[in-house]
Amino acid sequence: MNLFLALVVAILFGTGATQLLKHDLFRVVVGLMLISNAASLTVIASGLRRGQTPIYPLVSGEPVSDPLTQAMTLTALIIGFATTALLLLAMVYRVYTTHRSVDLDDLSRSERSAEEKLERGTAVEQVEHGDAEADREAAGTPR
Amino acid sequence: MNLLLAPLMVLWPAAAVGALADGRRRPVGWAAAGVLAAAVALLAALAVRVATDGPVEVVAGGWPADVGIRLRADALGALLALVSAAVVLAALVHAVVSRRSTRLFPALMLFLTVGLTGLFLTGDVFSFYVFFELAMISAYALAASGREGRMVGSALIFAVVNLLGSFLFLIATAALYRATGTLEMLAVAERARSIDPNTAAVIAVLYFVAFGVKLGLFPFHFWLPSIYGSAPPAVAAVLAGALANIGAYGLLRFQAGLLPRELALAAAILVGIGTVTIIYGAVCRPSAGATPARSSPTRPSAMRVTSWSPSASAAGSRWPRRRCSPWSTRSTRRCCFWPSTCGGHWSGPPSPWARSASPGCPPRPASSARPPCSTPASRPAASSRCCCCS
Repeated sequence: MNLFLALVVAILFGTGATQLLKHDLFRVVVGLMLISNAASLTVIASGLRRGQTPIYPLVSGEPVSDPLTQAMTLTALIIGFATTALLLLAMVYRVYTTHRSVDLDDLSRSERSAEEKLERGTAVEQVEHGDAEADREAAGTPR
Repeated sequence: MNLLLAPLMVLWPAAAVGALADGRRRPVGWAAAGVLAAAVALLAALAVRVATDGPVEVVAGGWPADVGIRLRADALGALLALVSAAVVLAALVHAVVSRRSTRLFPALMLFLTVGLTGLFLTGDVFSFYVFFELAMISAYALAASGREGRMVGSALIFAVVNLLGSFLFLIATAALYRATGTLEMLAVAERARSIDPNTAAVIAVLYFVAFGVKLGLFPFHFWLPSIYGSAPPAVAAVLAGALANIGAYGLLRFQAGLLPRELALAAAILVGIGTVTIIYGAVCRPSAGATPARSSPTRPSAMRVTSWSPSASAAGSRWPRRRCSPWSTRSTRRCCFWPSTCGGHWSGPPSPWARSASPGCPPRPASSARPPCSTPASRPAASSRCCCCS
């Protein structure tokens, strides 16, 4: 059973990590959800011992299985659900409403241009250099 | 009331009530600041008591010592709780004074302080995780709550990376529980001496990665510059001054406190990573393209050489002064003429601010060939280019 759970956790974590590295933000959120569930499953697995149900009255002399990990898993599940499902999806939606895209490439591109604007705003008026590079970039992108 | 529980008991109801109030109104902000100041005073009293009488302990809920969650304040925890709460208080006061408070800002700051105070004062590994997530969730919401669109991207990366760190922490905690059979830090520290060294090494590495991510140590730092640069000033101060304490405290508590043997093995690595982090943070400008430093007209260009983003370093010092900012208000969004052909508003990829052209703006010249503009005299007429900063 331990080996089986370890395999399941490994597959969940691996799948989650793969999805986390994608460019689509929804896949990133899904990856994080898988990883959070892998963590919850690890907590469950950490209390995996044979024993009677930990509800009174207990049969004396027999070992009792660990109820603490169940409580911990419940807490971890709630926290994981709150963060990934609600908070992250809300943030992705906000990204979508501002950038009209959920692709990380688009996002970094528009952040870069925002940074350039700021640089322009703060730098002193030094116009010695031509910026052929920026020109080429501008010519390539329809406005 | 016990001095250890008092800050939490003061902060928690105030945060819950504050979530219902409108934080943009100044009285709400000042009330939150008052509660926070009371909590800081209580924490200071606690720190004084810890400094004179030694660690203070209480088992929550009046349970027997092994059943209930133990809260425990030693010198390290009390000091860090005091410092973090003071930083949050200063940031909150600044936000209220400068009228930058958003609707949920005071409540989120209070929740953040609850989480921070709790995690510094708890003596239980799992409730550490719960408090820690409480603080982090407030921080994610705070980081994403600004008005600028580009902040959300940074906040999202911040949240994703730190959530990954949190889940690694949870996995490490599960492993530690499996290995030692307890969650109480003192008992864990005792039993950790006798567990299998290989298990302990894996747990120690997991904890190190989890807290390294929180702290922004060198190999795990990549989320840090963008969020520090793009968060509002008050939030950035909290992230740097209060949330980074979690990472430092975690490293001290979980590595030095619970698994000292494994930390001793990795001492050289830790020193190396710390040194690299200091050098990297000092040489590279972490806030490239962030809050404009309006007071300083010139910045040393040497600092730009190793700037974080290639575009920022390329943009370096050759751009003319900004005429219309990305944050121009609706009333100032108009077609403004750009006298210099080097003015870069046309360059670069499309940005969300440049998507919609203002009415009355002449179309952009098709030719991208710009005459060199070495001196102001060689610039073309002002009307030849138009930039729309909507």
